[in-house]
Amino acid sequence: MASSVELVELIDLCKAQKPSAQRRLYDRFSGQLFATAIRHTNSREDAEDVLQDSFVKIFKHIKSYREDFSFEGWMRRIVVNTAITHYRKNLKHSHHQDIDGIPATPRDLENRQDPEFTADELEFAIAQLPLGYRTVFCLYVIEGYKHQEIAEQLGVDVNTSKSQLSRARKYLQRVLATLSTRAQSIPSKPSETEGLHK
Amino acid sequence: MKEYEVHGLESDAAFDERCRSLLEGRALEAPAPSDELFASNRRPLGLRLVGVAAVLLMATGVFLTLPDGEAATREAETVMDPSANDQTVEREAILAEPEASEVPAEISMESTEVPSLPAEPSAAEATAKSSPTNPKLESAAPASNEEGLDPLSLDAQEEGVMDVDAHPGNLENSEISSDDAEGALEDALLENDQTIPVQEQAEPEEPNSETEAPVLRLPLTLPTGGGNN
Repeated sequence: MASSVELVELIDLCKAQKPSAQRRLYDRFSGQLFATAIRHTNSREDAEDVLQDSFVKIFKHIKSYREDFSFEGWMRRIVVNTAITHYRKNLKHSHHQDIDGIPATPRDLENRQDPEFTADELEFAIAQLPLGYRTVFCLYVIEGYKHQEIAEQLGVDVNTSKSQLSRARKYLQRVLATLSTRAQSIPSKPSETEGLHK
Repeated sequence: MKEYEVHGLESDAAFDERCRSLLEGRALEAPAPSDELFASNRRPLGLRLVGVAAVLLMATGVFLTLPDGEAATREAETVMDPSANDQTVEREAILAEPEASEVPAEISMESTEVPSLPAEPSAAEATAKSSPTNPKLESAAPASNEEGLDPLSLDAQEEGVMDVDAHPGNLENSEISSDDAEGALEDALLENDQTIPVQEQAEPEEPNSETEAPVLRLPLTLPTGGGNN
């Protein structure tokens, strides 16, 4: 409750264009927004640019923010839209990458086990995806966009969005399964505390 | 096949949910913000300060120029006042000059034969002669002399006597001029009381222009009517 009140005050100060409040807002939310930006870009440098542009937009349009909506969701949407714009700009300069080599057969599903994976492993697996697939996956799975919205945002067909999501999902599952099997195959080093207890 | 699809949809939904839960609140170490990020919000403030400074400069400039302007207007007013007085005097003189030509020759000669009269009475005399009320005042002037109530008229009578004394050889003319001086003084007094505006004095010129207008129309109408018939 106190944090929400503090956030409202911080938002009001940012609406008044107070530089100190803007810095506090950046320090508070830049980590989450940078994680969002880095999932929608190809490199850390691009993510930094997206984060910078996003905060410029946030500070510029924060007066239009209404308290009826989640402030974090509002900022994250700005980051995503900025990343999409960045993606569109760089689309002409990057060659199309595909993951058609990854089969999504019933055999794969049958043999697949629900792997246990961590957030770092998932981030690592997502980073292996081509940017188009990654963007579709993140928009649909994490940001909650519908296929129609994704198609409009990226300028692609709805079926293209659906197929790319399916392929991205299968690719991630395979990578994560590989990571989990490797982790299981590698014996963990006994810790000093375990040795002491034994 | 349908079992695989159903299993796939359920597993996909579970996989998505797990991914969402893992990544939703995830944060990374963000880079340090650049100075431009916050300076961009300070730029409008700087621009505002520049604007305020410009407005202040403009205001001071206007404030500094206003007294000069007021002084200039005051000087103009002071300059205009004597000029206006001169213009009124000139207008009176202009009005008096053509009317003096309209005055009968005897009276004009009498007025010119009295050099000792001061300038104001002469101007007043000229205006009095030009005014249409002059004959009535001339007729009223002897009545005032008979009553002897107005000290100014008495002084004017003394001046007339002095004028007569100054020109003893022309008694008749001097008497007429003394009467004229008395009427002129009374007219001047009336003018001081009534302060007749210049426009009213200029009104007699309008009938002249109106009288001239038909003269211009006559040649335009005559050839068409007479020539055809």
